[in-house]
Amino acid sequence: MARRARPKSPPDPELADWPEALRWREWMGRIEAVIFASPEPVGRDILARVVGQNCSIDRLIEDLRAELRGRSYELVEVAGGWQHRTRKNYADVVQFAIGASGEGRPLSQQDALVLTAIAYYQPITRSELSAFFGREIGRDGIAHLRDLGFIAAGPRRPAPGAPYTYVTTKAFLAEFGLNSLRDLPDMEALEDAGLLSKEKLLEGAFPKRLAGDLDVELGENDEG
Amino acid sequence: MGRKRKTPRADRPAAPPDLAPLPPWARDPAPSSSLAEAYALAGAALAILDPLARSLHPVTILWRQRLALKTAAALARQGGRTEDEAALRDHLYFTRPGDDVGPAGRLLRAFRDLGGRGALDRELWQDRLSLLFEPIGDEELSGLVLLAGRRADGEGNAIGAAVEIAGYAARRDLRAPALWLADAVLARRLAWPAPVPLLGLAFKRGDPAAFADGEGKRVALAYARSAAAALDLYGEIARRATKLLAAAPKLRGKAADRVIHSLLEEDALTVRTGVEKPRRSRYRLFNRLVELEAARELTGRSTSRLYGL
Repeated sequence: MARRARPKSPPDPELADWPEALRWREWMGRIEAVIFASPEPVGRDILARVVGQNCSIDRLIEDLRAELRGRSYELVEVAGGWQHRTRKNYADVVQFAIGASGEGRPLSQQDALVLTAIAYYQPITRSELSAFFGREIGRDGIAHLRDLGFIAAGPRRPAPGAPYTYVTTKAFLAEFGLNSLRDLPDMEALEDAGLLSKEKLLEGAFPKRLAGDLDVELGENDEG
Repeated sequence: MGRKRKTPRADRPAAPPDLAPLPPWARDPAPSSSLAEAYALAGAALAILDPLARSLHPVTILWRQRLALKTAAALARQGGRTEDEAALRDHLYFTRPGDDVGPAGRLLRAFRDLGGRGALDRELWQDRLSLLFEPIGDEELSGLVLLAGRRADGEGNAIGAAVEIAGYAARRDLRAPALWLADAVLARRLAWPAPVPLLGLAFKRGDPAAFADGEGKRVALAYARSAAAALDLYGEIARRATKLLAAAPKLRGKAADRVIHSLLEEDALTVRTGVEKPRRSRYRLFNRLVELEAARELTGRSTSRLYGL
């Protein structure tokens, strides 16, 4: 990406000397552009920066939504902001064509491995995960998985400090197209071999091949 | 008038019901028994169990919870997990409200739920099971629930009713709900006030796939064994409950009364159970109960302790 020259001055939100109709269209275009360009839902406060003080953002959104009628995507209010989203009736098509849920959830290799370990061995604490991986699994990684909604707090270990364990969530199952934990790759094989055991895990019996398989599936979502 | 009068002990719980012992010939039925023998033994064992299953004494709640614990542990083991009863208890009792109890803990919760009155309501089975167990294909679950519904009422062979449902335990994904429903159907047929978790206990030695045998011999034998195990378990609980009640006069006060009542109907208590901030006196109370052998500390730990009969 070529270096952009610094803009001479910030865009004028008021557009005071524009004809009314043109100004309105410009405002619509601006918030549409900001929402389109943002990977996250955009809050009212951000949109307010590029439009006039007395302009109604809700009315702009209404007009934008009206224009999108009949298109395969829409403008929705979600998580306190607005976002473009594929309409539900096209979700299957998108899923089939590019295998994406369309929500752009980046998951690093490391995150994927940690998530895998939690999925098979839940409930499991951060320090047990660290012991298995042979290095410290940081709070940040866990927090990231939690923010993504893939893991949640489980029972607290009755050990000093009562550390939290982690378990996977329904959202985890939904995201990876699993109906239940039993649909995890080779879950039944692990059960039969009696390998679904934390003690064995810590002895290093975790089948790394599975981590490889799961990586392939998760890799589609990895934008890293 | 300075002395406190002893509070009338009218509210002291009654002694736990006495039960006829299982005759020796009804124990440990041989797998080589004929079909008729299997059903006869199951019938005998269930008949001895019947008054206990009908009893409303609080201790029967605890009894059902302990049976649920054993069932969940047996199923967890079958599922290749290492959670034993102690670990399952920890999962259940140390999860903060609102947090997830985890898949093993869910299994325990599901079978504790089986021991409640609500589990008899067949209209609610579909919804209940969807909530209690891991998401299963709706179609398959509905098929099973429909079958259970048909078997749930009617006359004649109660065990026969449970047999067809128990057969589904051969399928891994339906195993736990199948066992749950089989016991629920049995309880309805036998007109018990609440189901008793029984079938899962037989997994200690059995292969769930064997339950699919059409004639139901394996299921009947399983019920015979499980009922015997359940009776033995009750015997232990009743002995301990009697000890607790004998020690009760030595423990005065409302707090002690509440704890005693709780101990009779709960599998386990933490020091915090029922109180926001346990005072020192509460810790002392539990220690005293253990000293008097009226209750046990179940974990062997010095922190995060659990107390129960």
